[in-house]
Amino acid sequence: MTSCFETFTVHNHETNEVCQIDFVDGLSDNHLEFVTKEWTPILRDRWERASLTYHALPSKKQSERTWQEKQRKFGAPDSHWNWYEKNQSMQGSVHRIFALLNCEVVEALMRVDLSTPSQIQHATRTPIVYVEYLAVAPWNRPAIQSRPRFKGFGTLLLGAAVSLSFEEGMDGRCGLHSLTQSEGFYIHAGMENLGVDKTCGLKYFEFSPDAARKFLEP
Amino acid sequence: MYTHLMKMKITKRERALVLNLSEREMAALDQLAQRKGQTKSAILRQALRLYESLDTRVSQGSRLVLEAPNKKDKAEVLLL
Repeated sequence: MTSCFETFTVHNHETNEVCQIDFVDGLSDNHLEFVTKEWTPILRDRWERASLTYHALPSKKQSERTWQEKQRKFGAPDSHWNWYEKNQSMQGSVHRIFALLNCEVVEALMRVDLSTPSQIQHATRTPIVYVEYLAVAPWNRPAIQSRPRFKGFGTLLLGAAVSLSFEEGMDGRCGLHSLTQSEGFYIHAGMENLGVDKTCGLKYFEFSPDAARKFLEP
Repeated sequence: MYTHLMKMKITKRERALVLNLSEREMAALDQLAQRKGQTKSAILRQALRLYESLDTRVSQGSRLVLEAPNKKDKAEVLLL
């Protein structure tokens, strides 16, 4: 079930027109089909290009780091994400999916988990809003389209996760594992870097209550 | 950008519930809220999510097992 909780206007940099964007909770089959038909082919193509240029490197230069760099350059580190599966595997009120919609066009997506403990307040197992997956449409990524259709939708979704944390009585606590190319963004947002999580090899970031409040301040 | 939208109201359709608790239950809720630094409402919401999640997994055939710190003693928890 999809429910809209905010509608706002934003400048479309492709058409130079003002568009109405709906911020919705939940995804319909049409939205999922749209992502499969419109996002996935672009992201797969970008992943293949990244793979080709990576394998064209001399073997000495092939490493996890250079692979990450190639994926960042081609803007498709999430090409393997299957949003159908992510929607199917939601467990009741533990998970929520949010989307930014331009009519029926899916512009950005985020899935959060409300049953994860804080790593900053590890001893008390204080729950946080954990951002499991966050992605904007391929045409909103500067690495894919030099003039993205919309800008700042990732920040907006992260703001929604923090707002949700306040509403759920979690005091703004919000965490995530960052893909390598996004680490700078989360540091700039004020999240604490808690280092590499050995279970997944990605760095873990978390908003303390104070940092969360600052992030939401205009 | 979008700073005016950052403090948005995510959950619009909240509904109120009157819940009667015994002294003992209220004391347990108070203690948990204090220990976790959360409101009593937040604790009850979290408890509901946990119960819902575990009940779904158990009804699909999963077992809920608690392991002692020594990793030797394990006990299955039966959900009611």
